[in-house]
Amino acid sequence: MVERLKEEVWTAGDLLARLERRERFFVLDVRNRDEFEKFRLEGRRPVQAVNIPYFEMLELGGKDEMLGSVVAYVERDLADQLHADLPILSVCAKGTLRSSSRRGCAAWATPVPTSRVG
Amino acid sequence: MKAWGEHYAVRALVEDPDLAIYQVSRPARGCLSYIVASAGKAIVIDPLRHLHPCLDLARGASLTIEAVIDTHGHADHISGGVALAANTGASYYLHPCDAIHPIDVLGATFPYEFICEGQLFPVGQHELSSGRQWAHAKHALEHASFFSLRLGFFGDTYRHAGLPASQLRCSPVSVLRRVSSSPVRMPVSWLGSLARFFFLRSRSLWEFGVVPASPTEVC
Repeated sequence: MVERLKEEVWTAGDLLARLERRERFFVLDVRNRDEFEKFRLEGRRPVQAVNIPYFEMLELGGKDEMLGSVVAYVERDLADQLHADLPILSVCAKGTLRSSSRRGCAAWATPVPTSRVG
Repeated sequence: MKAWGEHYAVRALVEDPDLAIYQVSRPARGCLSYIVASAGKAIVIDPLRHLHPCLDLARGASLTIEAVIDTHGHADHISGGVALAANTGASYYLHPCDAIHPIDVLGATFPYEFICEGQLFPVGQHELSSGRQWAHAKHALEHASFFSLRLGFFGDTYRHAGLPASQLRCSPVSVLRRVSSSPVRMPVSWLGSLARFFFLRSRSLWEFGVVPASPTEVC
């Protein structure tokens, strides 16, 4: 069962500082695939990332209800791809940079999180 | 990602009574710009797409932007030079070869002034002088390099073994000496095109330390 753990929102400045410190984290990019191909996070070292469009999660989750569908998809298809030991930074097109842990994936079920990115 | 794409960072590289040099970076695009300021005057080198970081800095430091210079004009450098010059009343300088459209080979229709080799750009108590560096592979463009009393400001085409372009983009003298005294390694793709060594002006250069670099490659 996916459980919601501590999560935080990184500002763009936070992200830059972490990239410059060469901190390791894992990116879950939920934008459309063409957007991911054109523009992704880069740093001095390669940034590990997986691109799973949000609407694919909704569709492939197979549930009638939005939250349940995303959670089902994460539990069934995504959890194994995520690093257990690294912070996971989830990014969407709108602007939010939200870090979490592997077990905190339920937070991504929020359709369009309120952005606090500077 | 929109916020990351539009994020700019400003840091001071030099802050002396008579000279300040600021680096403005757009890390998501790997683009770097520099503001050289002295005695209330400023020159902006390779202005970035959005003007507000530069304008905010100039306003906060009570600087009058007198010249806007692009060292190169490729698609990988998204310049706000024309807009910044129009906004501030400064002159916009570009090498004439960079003002030629790479596809239809027509000249630019926006207002700009030519950069000539050896041209001097006064800024307060200092001055920048233009030089040349490697020509670009496809377009045989000449690029202007700018040397203040301490630093070289390069376009994006210059590479040197072991040194990332982000360090050469605004190089302290120790790096410039190393570059100018040892062979330069060029990508094979450049060998068929016109390639020029830049001439490092032997002025009274002195060192100040390591320049912070962008996390990504520069343009």
